[in-house]
Amino acid sequence: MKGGKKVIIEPHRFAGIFIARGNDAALITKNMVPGEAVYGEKRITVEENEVKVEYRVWNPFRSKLAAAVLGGVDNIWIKPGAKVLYLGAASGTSVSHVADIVGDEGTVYAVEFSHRPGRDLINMAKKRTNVIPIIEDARHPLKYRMLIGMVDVIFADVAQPDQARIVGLNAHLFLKNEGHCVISIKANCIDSTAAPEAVFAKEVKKLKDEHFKPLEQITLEPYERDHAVVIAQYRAAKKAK
Amino acid sequence: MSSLRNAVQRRPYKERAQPKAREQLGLLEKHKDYTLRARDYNAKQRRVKALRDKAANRNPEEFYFGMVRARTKEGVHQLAPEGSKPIAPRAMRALKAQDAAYLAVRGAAESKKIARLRAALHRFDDAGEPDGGGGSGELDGTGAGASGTHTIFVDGPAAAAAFDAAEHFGTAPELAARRFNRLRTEDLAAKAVSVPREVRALADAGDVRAVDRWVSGVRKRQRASYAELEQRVGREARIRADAERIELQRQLMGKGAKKKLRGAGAAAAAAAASGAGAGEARVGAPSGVPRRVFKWKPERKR
Repeated sequence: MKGGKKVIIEPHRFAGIFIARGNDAALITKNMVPGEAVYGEKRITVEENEVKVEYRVWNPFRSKLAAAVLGGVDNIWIKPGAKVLYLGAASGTSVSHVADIVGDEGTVYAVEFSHRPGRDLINMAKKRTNVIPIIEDARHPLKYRMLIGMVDVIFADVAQPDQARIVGLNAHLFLKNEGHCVISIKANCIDSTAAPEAVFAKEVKKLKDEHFKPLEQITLEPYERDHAVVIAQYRAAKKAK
Repeated sequence: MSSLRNAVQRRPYKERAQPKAREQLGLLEKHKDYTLRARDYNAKQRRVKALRDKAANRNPEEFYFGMVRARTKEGVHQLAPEGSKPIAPRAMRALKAQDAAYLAVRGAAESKKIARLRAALHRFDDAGEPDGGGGSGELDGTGAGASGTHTIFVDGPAAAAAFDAAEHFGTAPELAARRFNRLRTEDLAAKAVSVPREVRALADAGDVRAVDRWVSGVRKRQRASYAELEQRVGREARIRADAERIELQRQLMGKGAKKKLRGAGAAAAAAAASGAGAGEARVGAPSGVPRRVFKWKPERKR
């Protein structure tokens, strides 16, 4: 991509994420598969110590995780080397960026139920060896328990009324103690009649019942309407008295 | 015989070029040019002759209805002004449909471009503060990009009262408000990951002014990108409003009994009377033109 000669790449608070400033001002991740875009996103090539490196622009309008990062969450817990269980992977657009972040050392288990987006997900995973696509219903984690080890983080974007239960089921099987979950909540999908704030509060309450300790919550304006991302810790250690 | 002649290579025919001495006269006219010119000249002559004959053979007693409204101005016949002919409603409706379709295409193109620009312009509040050395030099204020509410859960009211954003995020106090990138204190000294080679060379040479110039160039380009985005957003809104207006006109020209529920004047008055009502009346009309509302009578179709 042109323009790489006029771009500064800055470090971001979260390892694996960067900021590009040139003609654009954009959140970026290092492309694991240089030369290829996953969903037509912009790519930026720069030279670092005589080696060409390619980055991909991470669009907050398409990824709730990117929107949360730009919103300023304290920690997304997804970092280089992390093992991530990604529920509701869809076509794998966000998954590809998560895969970029965790890098070769990490793994992303991407679960998606629908076959059609699942096909795109599998095609994306063919190029990214750290992504393991699983076309299964996240409600039945036992069906794919053979494929997954313990994970550090669960990211969930399933947009189902029983999302908290789905996350709980998966966490009980795969999430290590003191691991984290990052959940994107679409208020409309949980309860379209209640106020969004009330829906978010109710979901946080449900997470608490599933042994999660909520850490932070952020709403995703202006990228999404009535969406929130909640970050919580699983079976957090008791505070020393 | 002829085949024998063909076997011998003949000199190709070449038309004469303009002699050097007459170069100022331009290219030399060739026969094919002359034919075209002559044909055109003769056609014009024929036309002039036909008109002349027609005028000579004119019957002064003849009457045409067009003469009733025809006028002369200082002895010169006035042609009917352009567009004075009324366009049939059906044709007009077809034209409006074309207009609406064109506007729809332009609007779609515009929104696609907006999406593409937005995808890579993440509103880092400052229109770019890339200081050549790295992330820590110039710190910007509030994040104009993200505007969501950020809730942090703490243990009990005491912890809430003692909450300090900078301490919680582990960053410098002036960075606590910079949502998109609150660098940790230990990372503040980190250099930029990548800087263009020529800029690095300038920095190494200690040419601070050249580096500054480059940085302001980046800022300028970013401002231009944001300006383009803004322009396109405004243009898209105008296109959509126009498309809507034309579509309404087209519908009004169509069949069916209809009733005006709210006219432009009434809506404007309502908007002026109550600030709250303005939103409803002006939906989809960013130029401030209030919408007219019509209702068609339900009609049974066979």
